[in-house]
Amino acid sequence: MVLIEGCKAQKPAAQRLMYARFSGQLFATAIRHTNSREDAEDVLQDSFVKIFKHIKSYREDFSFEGWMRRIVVNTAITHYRKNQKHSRHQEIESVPATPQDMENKVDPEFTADELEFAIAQLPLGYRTVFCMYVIEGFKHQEIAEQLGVDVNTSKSQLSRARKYLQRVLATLSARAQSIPSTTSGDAGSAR
Amino acid sequence: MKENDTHTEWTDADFDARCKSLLENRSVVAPKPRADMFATDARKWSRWMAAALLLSAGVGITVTYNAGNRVDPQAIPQKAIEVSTDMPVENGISLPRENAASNVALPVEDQPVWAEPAAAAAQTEDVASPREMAESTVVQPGESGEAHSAVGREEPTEVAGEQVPPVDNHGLTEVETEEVTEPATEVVEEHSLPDTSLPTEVNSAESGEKEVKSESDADAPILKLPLTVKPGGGHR
Repeated sequence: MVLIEGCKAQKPAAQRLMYARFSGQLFATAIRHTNSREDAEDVLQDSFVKIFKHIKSYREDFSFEGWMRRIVVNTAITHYRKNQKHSRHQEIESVPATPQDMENKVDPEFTADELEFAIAQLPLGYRTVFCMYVIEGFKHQEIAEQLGVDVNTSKSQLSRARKYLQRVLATLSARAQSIPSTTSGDAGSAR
Repeated sequence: MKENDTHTEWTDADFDARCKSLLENRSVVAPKPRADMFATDARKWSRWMAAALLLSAGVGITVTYNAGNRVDPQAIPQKAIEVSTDMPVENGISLPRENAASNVALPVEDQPVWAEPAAAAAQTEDVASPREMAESTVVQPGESGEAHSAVGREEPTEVAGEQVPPVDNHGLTEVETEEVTEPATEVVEEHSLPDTSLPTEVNSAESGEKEVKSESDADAPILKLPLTVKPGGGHR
């Protein structure tokens, strides 16, 4: 709270501490909502400028981290609209398919790195809908308004993104299971 | 049997919760911030410096303007007084016109400085006694815009207990009076005058000395300064 009050008073020291404390988390959010690290860096910088500018409007009955992440997401969407270089509504069928037998059979112990790898395989439109709904807590109505799409489009994209991620994670889990057995077999044959 | 061998069918809610718990607090190494992102102290200092510069410039202009238009009252010695020829003194004694023995010429550089009305009004409270008036070095023109002229006085005069050397006639000048008829009073610094000056009337027949009337007529020739007045007024 002292940090927030310092930022409200436009104190540079408090702002630097704020950046040092939350920039990593917000940068991860920016990466999930952009297609490149360079775009994510731009989104992060612009987001902090907005945070410092509008921090007086922050209400303490809301999570401060959640408030900042929403700013990052909105900035990423604005950044995308400005560039319009990517097709946010790229069809998920263009993504390389995973083995059908792995569908919906996911190792519950998948890691964050595996999940991020899977999310990175998603087209930007699916990725944005998934992250906004699952991680940032947006409602479908809000997502539809932010992205300028229909609510049903948001729901369908979320469903398809979720199934795609489960397939990718199942594939990664199957590969991870096959590697130890191969290693042990090699070790046994070496004996 | 390993636990991860058991593949479970995920519900959407479980999967979402798992994903959120993994990624919500995910952090990566962020790039360095931009230099212009933070509110810098330099901006605040630059604003203060700009304000200080504007303030000092305003003060400088004001001081320059005031210095060019009036005399600082504190710079005038206490013995420098102003006397109006028609103004009675505190004790009711009028200024003795007999003391106007002669017209006093002032060098160009020692010409009286006309004080502003406000300063003059403030100084009228310091009306001196007759003796001080006699010792004073004030030359007071008439209110009617009468010509104000002066002629050098050769006699050394004691001013405020100090012996003033006689004035050289070569440094005397005749002042064109049309240009200096506006103020009602004038204040002359005591030490700036070479000789005792008395309230001066153009008509000072009692002095017996040669006097020079100032030319108040518009047709009179304008004498340019400095002008050396020969003994005898230059008239033969």
